[in-house]
Amino acid sequence: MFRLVSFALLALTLSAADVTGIWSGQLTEPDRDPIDYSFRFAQTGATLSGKMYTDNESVPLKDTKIEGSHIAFTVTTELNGQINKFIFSGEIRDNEIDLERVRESNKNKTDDKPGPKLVLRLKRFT
Amino acid sequence: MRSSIILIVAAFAPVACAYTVADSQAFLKQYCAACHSGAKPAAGFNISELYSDNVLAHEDRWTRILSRVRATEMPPRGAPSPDIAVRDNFVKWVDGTLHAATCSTLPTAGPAPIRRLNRSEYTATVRELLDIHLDVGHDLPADGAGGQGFDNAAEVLVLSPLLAEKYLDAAKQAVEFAMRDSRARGRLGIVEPSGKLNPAASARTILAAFVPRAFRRPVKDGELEPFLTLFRAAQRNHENFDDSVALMLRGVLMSPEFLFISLPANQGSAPRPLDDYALATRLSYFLWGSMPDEMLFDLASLGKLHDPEVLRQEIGRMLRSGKAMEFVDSFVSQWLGTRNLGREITPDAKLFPKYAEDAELRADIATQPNVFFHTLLATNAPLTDLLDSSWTTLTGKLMTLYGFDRKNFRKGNGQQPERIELPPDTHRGGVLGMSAVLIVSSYPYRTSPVLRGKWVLDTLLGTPPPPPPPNVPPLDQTEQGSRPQTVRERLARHRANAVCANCHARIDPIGFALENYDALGQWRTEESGRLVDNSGELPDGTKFAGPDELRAVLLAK
Repeated sequence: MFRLVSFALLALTLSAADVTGIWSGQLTEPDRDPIDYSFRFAQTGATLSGKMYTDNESVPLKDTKIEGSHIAFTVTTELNGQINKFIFSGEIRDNEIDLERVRESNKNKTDDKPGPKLVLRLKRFT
Repeated sequence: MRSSIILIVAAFAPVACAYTVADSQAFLKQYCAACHSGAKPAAGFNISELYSDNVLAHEDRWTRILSRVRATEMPPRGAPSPDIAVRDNFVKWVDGTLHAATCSTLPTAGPAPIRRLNRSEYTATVRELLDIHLDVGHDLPADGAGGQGFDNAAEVLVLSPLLAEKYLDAAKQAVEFAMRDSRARGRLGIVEPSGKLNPAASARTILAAFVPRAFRRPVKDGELEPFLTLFRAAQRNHENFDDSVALMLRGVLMSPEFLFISLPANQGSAPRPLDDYALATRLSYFLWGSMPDEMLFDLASLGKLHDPEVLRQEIGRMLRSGKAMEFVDSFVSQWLGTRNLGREITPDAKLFPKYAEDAELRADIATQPNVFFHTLLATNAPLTDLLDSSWTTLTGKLMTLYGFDRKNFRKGNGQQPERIELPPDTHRGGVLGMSAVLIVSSYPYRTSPVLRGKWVLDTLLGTPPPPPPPNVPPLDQTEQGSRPQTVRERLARHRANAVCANCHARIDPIGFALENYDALGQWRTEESGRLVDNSGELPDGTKFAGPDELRAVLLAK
């Protein structure tokens, strides 16, 4: 049984492409110019870490998860004192990742609703 | 494949079959030597200098001859002139000879002179390096323009002792601000010394993260030491930790490695490729007017920036970034001459009160060319859109100024510039339809076909007319009691002067075609109570009327 589970875990890990590297894509919102997104992922087995590049620096990825072709993480940004948490999740396909991005509702604001689900296709940059 | 071979063969086919150096010299003797020879040749240019087989020895001179003979400016009016075929053969031979000679050698890398960060680059760099929102370059003197008229020319970006003091003051102000700002302190990684971390170790940690970003490259052994020495000296003087760190950081901001963009000396005689960090720096100061961001640094550290595909994508990302506006604002306002709009160049307040009274409109006018240029880069639009385009970028105020019905266009709130597809006959495509350009090529109180024609020839086409001869009298003002004259009528008298006519035959028609725009760039059909005459004819006989036909002629040329 132990062997079977080990094989299954190994197969799961091996089937996932190693996403280590820099990935870029553009997110399109209605009536707005596309926004460039770039991430640097570091994967060791089923462990994912990394950062999202912003205008001048970067913010770390949190709540990371990578299982087979599924990838998920969150990013928290601060702009002019406003803090936003974004939830990213999606599927890895060869040298592309189709991500969905949702802004989490601000728990400190009673009337704040989650943002719309937006699609972002990342391509491997390096 | 066959067509490619045909094209290659055609490209290398001899120009005009048997045209030779001797033929070109015969042309010069027949049509140029009458004025350009002897003890006092016209314009100080003696054609005999060119009686040689070596065209490249006088490349600049030949290039000017090519430009002026091709534009039928030379030989001048009244002088014996070659027929079209003779002129064509000469032009093709000069063009082909110069082209072949230039292309016979591979592109050669030029020198990379050391240059100081100019005021705007310094301001943007310090802002990003310390993560502070402060105009630290405010008190720095404006940088003079170099020979090409731009303020990033290395030859003028030196550092005098007086200027060094100004930079020292700016560095002090910036660091003091950063040390008081919690966000900046976090960015600098300032960690108070504690039990395990003594002050010197803490200072070293701060420097190890800060200096590579400031120097825009990894640091070498010992490069931190001078700044740690400053820290230790401050500590010996019983300065507290923050003040000691501040002194150390000011030292970094005064280091030549930060203040100057430079490359390690090339010990060999052959050109060498830039390393990835130097390339990142070149890219960021070219496209952003500021230091590389974290992604550029990461790509440099991975050695990926020399990969053509990575480079292509990275340039796209950089041009789409809002940070490209720093470069765009600086470049476009210097190139188009709109930098002094609203300062040294201002439309007359009595004639154009809407400009004088509306600060928002003034800002919209000044930024329109910049936003247009940034959109052109970000969307990879054709360069010819600068001359004529089916779109432009407008705010609500500009729409009103240009006489557009805002309801037909407005997508946003009208305050932010938007890309607008232009309906036919709106005459606003390219930079020639923009108020900013039309104002800087006018006098405050009236339009000037001469200024506008010169602006097009010089700024857009890169073929500036020669400066006017000394002691040219001003245009006669309308005599008292007589009918008001249009600018065209007054210029006609000016151009009757044979000395002026040669150049003005090329300058004025271009300006005439833009006469439908007043000195504020508003569309008009009448001037001094009469219909605007917007017709023009170039010396080669090309005729046009109005800005749209002028744009078509310029594009065709």
